[in-house]
Amino acid sequence: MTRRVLVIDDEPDIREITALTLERLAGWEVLIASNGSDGARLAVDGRPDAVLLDVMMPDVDGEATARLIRANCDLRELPIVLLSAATQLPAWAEELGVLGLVAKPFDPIGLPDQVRAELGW
Amino acid sequence: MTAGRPPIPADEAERVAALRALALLDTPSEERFDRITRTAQRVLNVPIALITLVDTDRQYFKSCQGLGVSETPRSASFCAHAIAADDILHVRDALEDPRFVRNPLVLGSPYIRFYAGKPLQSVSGHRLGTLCVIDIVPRNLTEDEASTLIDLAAWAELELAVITMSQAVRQRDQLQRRLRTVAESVPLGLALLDPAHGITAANSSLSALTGLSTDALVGAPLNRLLSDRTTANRPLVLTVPGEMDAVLTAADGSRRDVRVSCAPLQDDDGGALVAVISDVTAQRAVERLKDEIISVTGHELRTPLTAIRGSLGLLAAGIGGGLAPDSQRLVDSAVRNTERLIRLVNDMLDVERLAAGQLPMQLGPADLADVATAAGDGLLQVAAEAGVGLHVEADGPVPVVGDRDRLIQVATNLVHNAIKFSSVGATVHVKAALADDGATLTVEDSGDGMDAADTERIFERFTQLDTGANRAGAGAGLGLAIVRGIVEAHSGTVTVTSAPGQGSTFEVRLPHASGARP
Repeated sequence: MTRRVLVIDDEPDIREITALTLERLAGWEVLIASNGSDGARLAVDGRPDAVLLDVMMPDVDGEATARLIRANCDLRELPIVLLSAATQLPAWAEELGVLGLVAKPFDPIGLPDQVRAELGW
Repeated sequence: MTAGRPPIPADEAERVAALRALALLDTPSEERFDRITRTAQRVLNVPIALITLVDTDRQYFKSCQGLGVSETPRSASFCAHAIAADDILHVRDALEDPRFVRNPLVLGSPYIRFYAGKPLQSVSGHRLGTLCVIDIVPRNLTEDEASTLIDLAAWAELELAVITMSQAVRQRDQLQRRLRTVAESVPLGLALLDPAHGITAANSSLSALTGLSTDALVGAPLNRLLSDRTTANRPLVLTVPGEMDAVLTAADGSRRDVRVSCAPLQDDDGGALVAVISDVTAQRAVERLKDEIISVTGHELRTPLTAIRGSLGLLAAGIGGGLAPDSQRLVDSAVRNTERLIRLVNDMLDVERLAAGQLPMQLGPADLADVATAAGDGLLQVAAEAGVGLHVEADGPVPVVGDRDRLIQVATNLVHNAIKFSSVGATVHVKAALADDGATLTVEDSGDGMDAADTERIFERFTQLDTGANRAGAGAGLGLAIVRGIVEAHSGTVTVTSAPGQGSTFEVRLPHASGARP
């Protein structure tokens, strides 16, 4: 069965490259959201298998988005991986059950493997 | 003539110093002393009464009744004999005393026959001169007369003490004025505090800082003006002695970042304190701006770099369709240079954060052998492209406590450098090993090496050695600064052993952390 991942990032170019990479190299179905609120909605409606979440976003940032997702009892176990310019997991990541982090800038060729490793796929 | 020479007292140097300090030599006569000599002259019924001060080579008459001179040589001085002891020197007839029989003041004017002198002591206990009475006929000093002379001498000593005291008061006042000038001119807030931390005195800098007059400051508790920097609005808890960062709220409600240092006043039993308050608002603003620039730069540079690297990576991999050979070469070059730019951005941010002590470290159990292997694996392709062999030696685990990712960064930087400075066909040796006091990671190359003078310099930021080696592979000179920063954050050391033409061996030593010992 095809994996379905949700990419939440406010930067259009990053969204497009990430989506293209995961679709073309990993063969996954990719849902995209350009802000935290849309992302949290799509996490419910789109039924993704995992979320790739940007951290620094205006208004609803990565932490707030993760809280919105976790606030839905159906999404308590939804795997979340951060896609961030930071090199280390922020303090709130553990509390919200974030699995890991892929640092930006990432190597697109290695991205699917990096995401698989963080998700345990 | 030696028989007549007056002896030199044992305390001569200190005695003369005490005499000079009084500043009475060669000064006009003063009523405070003249009334004593007048009294002595009248009560003891003598033609001559003097207050003498025995200087190095002379005796000076500070007060003089019955003589027309102001000084005589010390060698001919009766008083210079008198100051050898505490008691009165009593010469009934100078012509019958071998010490004075040939004295010019006896043989000539004023033809001294009788002398009685009582030494005068300074406050510090040195005999400076005498109160003496002189006659030109022989006579005997009765017991009553001796008592009078002693009383009058005590009076003269009292006058000397008054001079010393007023000098001390003047000096104290001057010192206080100087201290006050210093306290008022330093650009630091100063406050004296009583044990309950209420202000008892404040300088004008503190007044300017707080917007309160120095009078209004007195009585105010200092910690009510200051709040904790981290938990604003909570009054500062002063630690004594100690330095604290705080926020000062001025009378107009404006806030300043300040640094407060508190110390107990020496020699004060009442528990009084001195507090020094410096305005560090500008400094803190610069620090905040720097943090912000680093953080914004990190994000703002990484975001476009992510897009560029991603696009180029996908293009190079043929995701956008196959590339003609020339296009492929151009895209590959763009990928390589993007990666170089990313490394530079990351290194600069790391260096800044290391310098500010803000590079996050996640310390935990780590294996230096695994670190060496991971770094080696990551550089296999770089080594292959450079035609350099890479040999990683790690027999069994080498447990340390550290941040695995940061230690891999250390090993990677060292091995990458070693590859860069190696010739084609050479081999770089990497070894992780246990040591008595911890663990070591060594990276050895057979490159050009360096002068001993450079072995410390290379760990500084932006340092590159002009070796004429492969400049294309050179970086910004940050790699080794990062290595040292990370290693020192692990309480370790990094050193290099090298000589020109002999290659270089870098050694990282990490200490055993508690519980990390195998």
